[in-house]
Amino acid sequence: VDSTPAGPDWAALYLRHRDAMYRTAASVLRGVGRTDLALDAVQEAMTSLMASPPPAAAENWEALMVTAAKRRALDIVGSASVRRHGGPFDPDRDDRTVDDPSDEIAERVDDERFGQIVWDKLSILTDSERRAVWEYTAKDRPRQDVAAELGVTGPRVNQLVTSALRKLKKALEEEGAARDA
Amino acid sequence: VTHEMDRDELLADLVAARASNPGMQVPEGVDAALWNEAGELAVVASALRHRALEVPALEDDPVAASLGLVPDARYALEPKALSKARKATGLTASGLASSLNARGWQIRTADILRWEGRHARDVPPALIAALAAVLGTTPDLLSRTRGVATGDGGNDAESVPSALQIALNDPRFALLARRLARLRGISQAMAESTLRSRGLATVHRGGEPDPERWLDSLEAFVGALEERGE
Repeated sequence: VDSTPAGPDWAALYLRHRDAMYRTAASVLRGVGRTDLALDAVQEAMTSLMASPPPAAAENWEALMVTAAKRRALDIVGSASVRRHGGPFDPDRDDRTVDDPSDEIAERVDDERFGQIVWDKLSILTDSERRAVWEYTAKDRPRQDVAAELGVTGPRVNQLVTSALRKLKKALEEEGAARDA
Repeated sequence: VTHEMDRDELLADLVAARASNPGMQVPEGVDAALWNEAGELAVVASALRHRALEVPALEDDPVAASLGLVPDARYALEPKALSKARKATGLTASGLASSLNARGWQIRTADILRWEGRHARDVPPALIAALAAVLGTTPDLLSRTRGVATGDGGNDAESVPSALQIALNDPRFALLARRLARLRGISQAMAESTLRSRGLATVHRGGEPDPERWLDSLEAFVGALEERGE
């Protein structure tokens, strides 16, 4: 019976970490309005990881894979910026994307876990607060659309969002799960 | 009340701004208390924004398809074959689950027992391969394979556009699968499953469901793998 794989089981690793990879890439690409390219960033990240796997078994596959996805997304952002401005590729800017301090990597990985914790806390909100904070803040939908769906005014949406975020922050603090600003 | 509403309005705007741009400077006229609260709430808002990014379904993900992570009714785990192979090795169901978890999968003992019962259609080809590796057998011996022309649900005839059905029956498809099988050291049936899922993911992403172009894109995929020696 062979229970030790010769190399990484990429399918297992990808299944386990693809949500974090995808959300990290999409989060970077949202800045340039190109979340539609997140899958491309993830695909390129996996291609490069599989072509050159780490020499020894990685201690933290999640950090490795998420970082690879983030770097590919930053590459896309960089090339999109070049296209938009029509200027030459800027090595200084691109070099900055390659340097990725380990604390930032940890933060990216932590985004996924913290996002899940906050998501789990949404149940403490009233229905209106939950819908307002999810549709307006999380999904970034126009305030007037959310207001119309909830049957309230635009300013009322803001009130609901503020109330929801305060409740969530308090609940996270009580559990010791809050993060610093 | 109006003052409170104005402050809430401003706070909500600041939270939204800081959530999308954590490095922003304090705008003129914003007091420290409001700015600090906006920063604290923006942390929560950012987490929600991150969580709201929708991850594509496995079947729409070409990477997942290429890795054999999309369950395929034409390459499905055979419950009796799994049970027989496991018992032949003397492994318990929990032992098998542990071996899979050591490879990176997240499998419970109850999953193994369910697959050995009747419900194994959600087991993707990549997991069948992992099961086979642990049990010292081949994926094909644990699987029930079906021909491309049969409709049997799942990632199958009922969900495959007719243009792609034509491509699946094209001899070129079988040749591409043979190249992939040789490259990865997998069976022809598993290679066909991988290419089928990969092709379907392309269609789900808005690719052109034309048989020739679909086969061209698969050829490019296999060619790239060969070039990298993957």
